[in-house]
Amino acid sequence: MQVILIGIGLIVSLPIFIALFTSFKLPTEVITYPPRVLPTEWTVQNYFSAWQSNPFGRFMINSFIQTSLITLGQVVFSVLAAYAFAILEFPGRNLIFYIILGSLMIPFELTVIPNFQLISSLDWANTYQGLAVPFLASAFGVFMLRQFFLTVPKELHDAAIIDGASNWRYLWQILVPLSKGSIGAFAIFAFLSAYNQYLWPLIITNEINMRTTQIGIRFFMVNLERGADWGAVMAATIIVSAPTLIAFLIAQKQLVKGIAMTGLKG
Amino acid sequence: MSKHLPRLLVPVGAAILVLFFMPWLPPNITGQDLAAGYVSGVEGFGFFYLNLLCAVLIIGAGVFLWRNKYNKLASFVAVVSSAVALMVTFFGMSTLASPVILNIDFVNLAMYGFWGIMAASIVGFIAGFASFARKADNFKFLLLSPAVLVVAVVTAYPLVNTFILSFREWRLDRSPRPEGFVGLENYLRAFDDRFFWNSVYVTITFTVISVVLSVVLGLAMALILQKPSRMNTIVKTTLIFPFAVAPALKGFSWRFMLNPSWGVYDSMIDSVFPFMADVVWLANPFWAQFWLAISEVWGWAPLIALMFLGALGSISPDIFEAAKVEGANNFELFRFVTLPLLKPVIIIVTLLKTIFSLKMFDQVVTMTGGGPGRATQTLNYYVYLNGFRFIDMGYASALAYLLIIALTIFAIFYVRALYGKEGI
Repeated sequence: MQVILIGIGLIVSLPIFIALFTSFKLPTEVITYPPRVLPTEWTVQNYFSAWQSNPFGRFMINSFIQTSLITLGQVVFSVLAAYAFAILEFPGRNLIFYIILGSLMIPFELTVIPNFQLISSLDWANTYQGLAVPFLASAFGVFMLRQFFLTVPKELHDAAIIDGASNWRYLWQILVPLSKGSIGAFAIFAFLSAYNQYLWPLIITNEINMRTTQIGIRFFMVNLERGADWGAVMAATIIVSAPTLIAFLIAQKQLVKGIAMTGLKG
Repeated sequence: MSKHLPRLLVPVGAAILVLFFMPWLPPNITGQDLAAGYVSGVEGFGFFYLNLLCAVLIIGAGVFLWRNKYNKLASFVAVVSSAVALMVTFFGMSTLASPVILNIDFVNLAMYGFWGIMAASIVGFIAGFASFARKADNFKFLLLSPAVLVVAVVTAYPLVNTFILSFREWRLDRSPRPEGFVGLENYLRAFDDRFFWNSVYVTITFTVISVVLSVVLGLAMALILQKPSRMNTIVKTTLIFPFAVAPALKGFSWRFMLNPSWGVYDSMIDSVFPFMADVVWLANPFWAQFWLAISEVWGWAPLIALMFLGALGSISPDIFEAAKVEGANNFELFRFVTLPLLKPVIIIVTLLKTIFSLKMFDQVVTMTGGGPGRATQTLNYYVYLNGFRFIDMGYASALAYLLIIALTIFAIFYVRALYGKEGI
């Protein structure tokens, strides 16, 4: 049993460790045959050459701005909408909720042509707003936070209102502090998916200075493909993946909780 | 509602202006374009008249609110700026419309008028909306509108737009704007396009392989990891790795490991199955498809295992105890107790994974680039190719819609499975 467990752990994490170890190998050792997993001589040379070959600092800043805008927008707007769906009662509530939920199923890739047309006609190509605005709200966030808000006793709301609090105050001073955990979990999700975005940054940016890390690295790879300096390529992927891996290590409990909720009723 | 109507008119009128015109407004617009109704986005319905209508709407509603002493400042700003902007536009427009040779200053004047109305609309929108939402019954609008607005602009509007585009001819290299309607031609073309059928075939194969393997392996992992122990906690931690990893790392590390001369997986496989030593994995259509699916399974099976673990945790241990007392062995326990109890979750997870597999895109780009040849061109990738490489927007829209239809079917099943008969 223990062996199987370790086996699973190894298989799952192998591609990441291979990338990590390769990034520390000397260029000659990367392409030795037969291949070895661990480097015989550790070097950080690859990180220097990867960092120097591309404006990674710039890519990181771009990704950081885009990701923060998206995360902030998704969290705030999802909290607001989830509150309306969970606490307030009004005609058409379920219908609107179904529509929002339905939009969760439509992949962004398929609405990309009109979105591209829209954003570029606003002259927002190669801008931060162009990267971020289409993702400022998240159906998944509305869905997830609504599920959590529903578990908060309604009496709490009634009591707060009787004591003279407005809905606005109840939301920000009572409900949000109570749901820190769920909101945090969703924020991590929003961060991860925003940071890992691929198609949209690919088509909406064509200036090197506006590329996000994911896209910057893609062009790096394509150029390297002929010479294939795999050590540097792997160093670059590790640099790019570092923020998500760190975020994951910090918040892994919330993440696991959030994942379990996607398949279940909250 | 009726007494709220005037209060709503300011923000609604402003929203129509902003939403409807802003997206279509090219950056380098000229006065002639304005006069020709070029920016309206709706051919045959002049920009000018709709602009006029909305401005009048805002002014009317603003005056009404002013008279009813309802947030005086907001209605004042909206009315005055709309009126001034409208006059300027009107003046500029009337000059443009006349056969007199254009004076460039008037063109600019019309432009200023246009932007003035825009600015006034935005101010009016915010002010009007804030005062509208301050009323307790209207609070819900304040809460809902940001999310609903974004969903409407980013998902609902493009869905409609793509649908319309799919019936039109539009090659970006020939015309910057959509051309004539061609009926069902784009769809008929898809049915005659063997590369389209190839992508359908690739997508279906990919979906079947990756869904079956992900769900089965995910379930197996969940069952193994079910018992709480320290080792399990550590392994569970690694399970989330593939999910957190960037698509670039996913695709490129797999590509590296499958490299025939120095890839680790390649040499591992070669040592177990020596007869496969000559296979160049990603240059062989069959194996490229296979590995693409495997890399996806690698990303998803652990995630699915975590979902199953959540579900297994919610099953009462008493049920298992009772079954054991009745003399059930491990297999029977699984077959007759665990599996039926997990069935709803299995269905949900399968549908969710199917939806994600059908729209496979990222790794096709990072791992195989659609190749070798067209062996790993999924439908979503083919849509991208047509839209952004061959810049044939009309055809790409039709293809996108075929995929949307397939996805919608699975999405309906998913929502049904998630909420069942209980409703939301």
